[in-house]
Amino acid sequence: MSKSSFAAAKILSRQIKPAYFTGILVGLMLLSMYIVAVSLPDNQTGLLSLADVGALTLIVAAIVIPSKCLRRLINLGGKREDFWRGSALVYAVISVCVALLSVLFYYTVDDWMLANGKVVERLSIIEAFGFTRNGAAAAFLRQVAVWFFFAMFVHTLTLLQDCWIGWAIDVLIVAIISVFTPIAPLRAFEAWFWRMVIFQPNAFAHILTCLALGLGLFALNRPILGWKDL
Amino acid sequence: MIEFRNVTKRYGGTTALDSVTLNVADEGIYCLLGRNGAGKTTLMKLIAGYVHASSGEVVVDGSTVTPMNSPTSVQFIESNAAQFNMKVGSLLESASGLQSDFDIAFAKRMLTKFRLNPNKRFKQLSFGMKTMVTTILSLANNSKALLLDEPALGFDAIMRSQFNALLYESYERRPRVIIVSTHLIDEIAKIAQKLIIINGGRILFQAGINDIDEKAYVLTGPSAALKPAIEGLNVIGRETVGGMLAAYVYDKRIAPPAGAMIDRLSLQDFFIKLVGGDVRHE
Repeated sequence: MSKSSFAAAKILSRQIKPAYFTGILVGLMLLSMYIVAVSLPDNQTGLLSLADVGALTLIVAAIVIPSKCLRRLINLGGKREDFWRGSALVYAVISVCVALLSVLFYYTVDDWMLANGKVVERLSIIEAFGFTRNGAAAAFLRQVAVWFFFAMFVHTLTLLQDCWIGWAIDVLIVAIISVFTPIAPLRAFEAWFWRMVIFQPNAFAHILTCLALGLGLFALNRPILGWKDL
Repeated sequence: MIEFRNVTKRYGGTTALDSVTLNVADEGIYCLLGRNGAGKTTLMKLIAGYVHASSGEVVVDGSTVTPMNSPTSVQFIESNAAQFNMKVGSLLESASGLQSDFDIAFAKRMLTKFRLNPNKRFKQLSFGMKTMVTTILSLANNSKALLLDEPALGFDAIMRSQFNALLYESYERRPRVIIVSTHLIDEIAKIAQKLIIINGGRILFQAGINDIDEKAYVLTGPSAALKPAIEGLNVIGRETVGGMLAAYVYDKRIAPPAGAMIDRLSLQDFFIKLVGGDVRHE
């Protein structure tokens, strides 16, 4: 990773204010629900976990960076290589931060809320997906890998939206989800795919799969950036 | 340093550049002229690796240019280039991080010289100021080739004069290939050393500015006297009013025939005659 790639990552990380704003806004909304729950003497409701909110920041960042920042970075004297490496570095760092915050929040605040009867149920993505079934460290690593893969996927799809291939992939994704699902073998493939990237019980296999897919998409981004006319 | 080998660039069904062969070997300030849509921006984008050639090859410093292998020795800036909405000072710092040969001291000096507030955000600047910041960003780069697309767009007369001085100062500080695309022909003529004219996606003319001074002239006089005198010369335009003829010539100088006058042709007139063709007023 060259010095200019780090510089690109630094610039890109400062240009995703909509992502930070979205995360903070939704976080504050959820936090207000926590405050209400703590204030009530006898609360019998469930609560959406604040632990998941960071993922929103990552998704918005993966839309903003390819749609708004590529041309500007080039205009500032950056190269496509810098954008390619810098954006992946930003997603890696945000994935680590999101996973860390999520695990910290889940195992401290959320656990305390449950243990002290402040809520009767916690609605958490990382719990629903089974990321927490192998302990805190595995939950952290699973999330880093999943969020990195997911960010690279959204980034790649956004990057392709100004050419027909991107639109074709959009249609394909919608078709796979809606039209193909009634076809048994495709349904089985889809179920297998989601099991591998989301519901995989084996933490090690899960982390490896997501990292491999994320890095595969990272590699794919290089020729995609090479095709693009500015 | 920059070579086009039979390069064609198409956007869908439109041919922007058509089998262009061009060699820019020497350092100097090159003036790239052409009408709107002639292919100037496309030519620059191909050099910088912003777009692919549909066919042919663009070579910079011996390496074939592709978007993923854009030459580090080339800096291309469009006048209305979108920039991050940072403070102007932060933009310079960011550019310095991205470009190893960015002269930040020079850039800061230019900010002061042009009274640009480094604490203002890019979007808060006027159109002309934005262009000046973009121009400073490009001129502070010490790359071997600098491509400026309409760099003086939105400048008032004083800013244009300052820009020319800045461009020349940058060239003196670091002699290199500087290609400037502009419609402000007579202003760039004051500092440009070489000229490239492009028309309809093809290179129409390439020469030194001195050649224009020496060879481009207009002969005015009675048609009957002038017609035999200009026979065999490279006449790039004619205007006939009544019995008088104005012949625009790019060729060796001749002594004007009796009753005729000779005058030098400005770069702008030369360009108009070369690209615009004949105009006849009866």
